[in-house]
Amino acid sequence: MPREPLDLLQGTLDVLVLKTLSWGPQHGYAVSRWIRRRTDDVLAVEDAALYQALHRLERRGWIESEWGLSENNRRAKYYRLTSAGRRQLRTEVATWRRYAEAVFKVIETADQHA
Amino acid sequence: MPQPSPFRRLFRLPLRTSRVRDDVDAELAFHLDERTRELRALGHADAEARAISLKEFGDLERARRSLRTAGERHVRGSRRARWLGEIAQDLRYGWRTLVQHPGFTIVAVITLALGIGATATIFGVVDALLLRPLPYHQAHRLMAVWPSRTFLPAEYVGLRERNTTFESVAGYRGSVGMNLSGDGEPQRVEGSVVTANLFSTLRATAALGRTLVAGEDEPGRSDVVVLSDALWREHFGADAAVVGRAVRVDGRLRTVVGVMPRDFAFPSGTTRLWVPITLDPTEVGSFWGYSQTRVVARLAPGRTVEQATADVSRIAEQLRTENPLWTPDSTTWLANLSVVPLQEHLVGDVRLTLLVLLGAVGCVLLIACANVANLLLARAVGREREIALRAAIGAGRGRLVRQLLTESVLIAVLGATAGLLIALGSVRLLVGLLPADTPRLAEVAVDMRVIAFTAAVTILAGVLFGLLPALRVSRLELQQSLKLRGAGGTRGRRRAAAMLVVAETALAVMLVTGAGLLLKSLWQLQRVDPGFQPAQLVTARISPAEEEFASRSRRRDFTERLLERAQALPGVTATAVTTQLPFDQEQAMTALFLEAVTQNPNNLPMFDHRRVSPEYFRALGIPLLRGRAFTPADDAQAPLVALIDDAAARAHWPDRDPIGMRVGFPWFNRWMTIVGIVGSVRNNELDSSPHPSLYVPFAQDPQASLRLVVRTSGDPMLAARAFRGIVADLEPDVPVSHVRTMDALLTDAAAGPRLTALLLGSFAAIALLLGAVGLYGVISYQVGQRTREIGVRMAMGARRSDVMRQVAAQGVGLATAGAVVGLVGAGVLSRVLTSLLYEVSATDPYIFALVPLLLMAVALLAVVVPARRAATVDPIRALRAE
Repeated sequence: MPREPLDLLQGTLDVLVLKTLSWGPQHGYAVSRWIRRRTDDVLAVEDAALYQALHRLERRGWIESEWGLSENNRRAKYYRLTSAGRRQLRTEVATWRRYAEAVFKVIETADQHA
Repeated sequence: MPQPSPFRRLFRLPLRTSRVRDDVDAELAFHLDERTRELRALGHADAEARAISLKEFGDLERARRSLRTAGERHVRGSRRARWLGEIAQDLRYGWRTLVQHPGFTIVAVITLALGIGATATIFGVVDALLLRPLPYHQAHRLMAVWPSRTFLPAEYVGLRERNTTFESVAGYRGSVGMNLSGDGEPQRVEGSVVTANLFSTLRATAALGRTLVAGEDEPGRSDVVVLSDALWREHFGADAAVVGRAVRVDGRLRTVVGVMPRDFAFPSGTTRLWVPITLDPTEVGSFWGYSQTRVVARLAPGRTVEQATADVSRIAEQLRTENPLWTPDSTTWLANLSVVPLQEHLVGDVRLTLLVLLGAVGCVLLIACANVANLLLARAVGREREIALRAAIGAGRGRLVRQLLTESVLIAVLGATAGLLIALGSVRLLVGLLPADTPRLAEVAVDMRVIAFTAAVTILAGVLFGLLPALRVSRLELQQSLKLRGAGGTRGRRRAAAMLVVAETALAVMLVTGAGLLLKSLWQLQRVDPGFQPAQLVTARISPAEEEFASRSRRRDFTERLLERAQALPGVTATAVTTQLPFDQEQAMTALFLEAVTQNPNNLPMFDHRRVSPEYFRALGIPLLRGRAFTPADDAQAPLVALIDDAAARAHWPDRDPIGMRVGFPWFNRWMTIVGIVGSVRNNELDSSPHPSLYVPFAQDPQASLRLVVRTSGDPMLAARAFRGIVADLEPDVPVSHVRTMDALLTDAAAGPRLTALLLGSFAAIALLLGAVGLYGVISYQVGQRTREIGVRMAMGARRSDVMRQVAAQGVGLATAGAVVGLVGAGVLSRVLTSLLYEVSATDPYIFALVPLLLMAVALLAVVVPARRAATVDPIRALRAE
C-alpha cells in the first residue's frame, strides 16, 4: 500500500515485542521483520528503538536472552519470553483491548451523529 | 520487579563490562548483515543494500552508545547488588554462628571489649592532649619564645618592637593568685596578667562583650578585666549584663569588658580571669626588675622557626649590650634559646608518658587479638565439614576467606561497641584523676575522632585475628577434610596456637616489667624525705589585698592576732605564718648579693625567699643545724637577720662558715646577718634537689599575703574549719583559700607519677589476666584433643602424676619461651622509661628477676585445671571413644 507507515504510539512497542516473542524465541532481526510483515508495513518500527526496547524488557525480567546460532550458522542473540513476561503480556493485551474498544466506541458514535 | 527464576540465574554468568560492549556490537552487526542479505536477495547491489539497511536502522551510533551504557550500568548494578547480597548473607550467617556458640562469643567479645575499650580511652586522652591542634586559628604558627626563661617587661617590649619575623608578640604571666571582691564573699582566684594583644595574637574572640584592645596595657587605660566562662557562671551567675560592671581585683576597681567562651583555656584550664599588664617604662623597678612574663608570638607568613630563633637571638644580644646592668652572664645566656611551637611547649612534659601509655595499651590490644585468634583456631576444627560443603557447591577460596573475615569483623564490632561504652566511663574517670592543671584537660572527650579511630582499629583487629584462622581453614582440601582429622592440619594448628601464646606472653612480660619499674619508682618517690614533718599539719592561704594592707604595722598586727587566735584552738601544738609553703603553687624567689663572696654582679644567685614567724621551723619540724633560729626578739627594731638552709650553705659558702656573714639587696641598701643554718626542704618536685633558701623574720619584712600553718594533735581538718571564722572575725574582707593538710599537698605532688604507674599497672594486670586465659585455653583444648593419647599412655603404665606433670610442663614451657623473649624486649625497650624513673635503673635487676617468677606463678595457675583434667582421664573410656 502506498501509504506512509504510522509512527508507533508510545508503549505499544513493548506489547508488540512481547507478543511477537510469545510464539517462540527469536533474534532481534527476526522480531523486526515479523512486525513489519504482520502489519503489512503499516507500523514503522525504527530498529534502534526496537533494540532499546528489547534490552529494556530484558532488564525488567520479562524476556531473557541467550546466544545461539541463526538459520545460516551465524552467532545471534535470541530472546524468549519469561513466565513473568507472559503474565505481563496478558495484562497489557487486556488493557490494549479495553483502550481500543473505548476509543472505537467514541469514534463510531461520533460518525453516526455527523 | 519480577526477577528471573533463581535456577536460571545460576547459569547466567556475570558479564564483564567489556563483554557487554562486544555483545552489543555483535548483535547490531548481525541485524545489519541480515537486512543487507535480505535486500540483496531482493535484487539490490551489495553497497546499496548495506546503505539502505543502515538508513532503515535509524541512528546506529546513538543506539550503540545507549545500549552499551545501559548494559554496563546494569552489569555494574547487578554485580554490586550481588556483592551486597553476599555480604548480607555473610553477616547473617556469621551472626547465626555467634549466637549458636554463646560461650565462645561472650569470651571473645569481653576480651575485645577490654582491649578496644582501653585503647579508645587512652587514644581519647592522647588525641586531645597531644595530637589535636590547639583550638586557635592556624595554631601551628603560634610559638613559645624562649620557654626556658621568663622575661622582664622591658625585654618583652624590646622583642615586640625590634622583631622582624613575628606578626604579633604577646606576653602573659600565668597562675597568678588574685583577690576578687566587690559583692559577696571575697574569693581568691587564679588569673593571668596579659598584654593587650594576647587575645588578638591567639585570634581568640570573646563570647560576650570584647577582649582587650590595643593600648589597654598602658598606664591609665588598664583598669579592665576579661572573665572566663567558668567564673562568669560561678561568681556572676551567668548574668548577661555583666559587661560594664565594676569589680575589685586585688583591691583595684576594674570594669568587666567581656567574657571568654567556654573552651578558651589560655594559659591553663584553671585561669579564671585576665587583666592587662601595665607596661610603664617610668616604673623602673618593675619594668626592669620583675621578670615573670612569658612570651608567645605568631610567626609572620612566610617566616620559619629558624629565622625567628636567629632574630630573637640578635635582639637579645642587642638588649644586653645596651643595658649591661641587669642581664645575666653572657657566656651562658643564649645557651638555651629556642623558639618552639606553642603546642609542644604546653604539653611537652606529658608527651613521653602519654606515648608510653599508648604503646602499653597497644600491647594489651595485641594480646586480646591473639586470644581471640586462638579461640577461632580452636573452633575451626568443628567447622571443617561445613566449610568443605560450601567449597563443594562452588564457593571459591576468596569467598570463603571473605565470609570468615566478615565473621571476625563482626566479633570485633561487637567487642568494640562494648569497648566504647567502657571507654565513655573510663575517660571520665581518667579525667577526674589527672592533675587539674594538665594542659587541655577540658578538651578530653570521646568524640568523633576517637570513634573513627576506634572503628579503624576494630576493623584492623578483626582482620588481624581473623586472617590466620581464615587462611588455614580455607586451605583445607575437600577430600582431606571429609576424611578423619588429618595429622598435618592439626600439627600446623598446634604450632600456630603455640606461637600465639608465646607472643602474647612476651608482650605481657614487657608490660609487667614496665609497670614494675614505674611502681618501684613511685615507691621511691613517696619515700623521699621532704625535709620536714608533714603529718598533722594543716595550712591555709590568707590573702588580704596589697592596697588595703599597705602599712607594715597593720600587717604585723594582723599576723600577731591571727597567730594568737589559732594557737587558742583546741589540739593545736604549734602555729606559724610564712609567705611561701613547701609544695605551694605560688613561688617567690629573689636574687641576693653575698658579701665577701665572689659573684658576677650580672648573675646573682637566686634563693627561695620566705618570711616566716619564729615558730615556723618548730611547727614544720625543720631541724636547726647550726647557729640559732628566730626569736620574738627579732622584731622591727632589732638588727636584720636571716637564716639560710643547708643547700645554700653548701652551694655558696663551701669552705667557710656563713654564720655571721651578711647578705642583702644592695639596690635597697638592705643587709641581713646570717644567724643560723636550717635543714633543706623540697619545694615543688619530690624528685629534684632543694633550692637554696633564705628565711627572714616576718616581723622584719611583713607581707600582706601569707600562709597559716598549724600543727594539731587531733584531726587537722577540724582545726581547719575554724580558720575562716578566725579570719572573718579579724578582717571580714580577707579571703581564706586552699585549706589543705600538708599530707594532701604532698600526695598531689606525686599525682602524675602515681597515675602513670597505676595505669600501666592496670594494663599489666589485664595483660596477665588475658595471657593466663589464653594459656589456659590452649592447654585445655590440647588436653581435650589428646584424650585418646593420654588414655593410651596411662593404659601402658604412666602414672597420673606423670601425666599431670607433662601437661603442666607443656604450659610452663610455652610461658618460659614467652618470658625469655619478653625479658629481652623489656631490656631493650625499658630505656624509653628512663626519664620517668626516679632512683630506679631501667634495667633494675630486682624487677627483672621478679617478673619471670610472677609469670611462672600465673602460668602454673593457668595450667592447673587442665593438668588435673588430664590426670583424671579414664583410660578405658578414652580408648573406647572415637
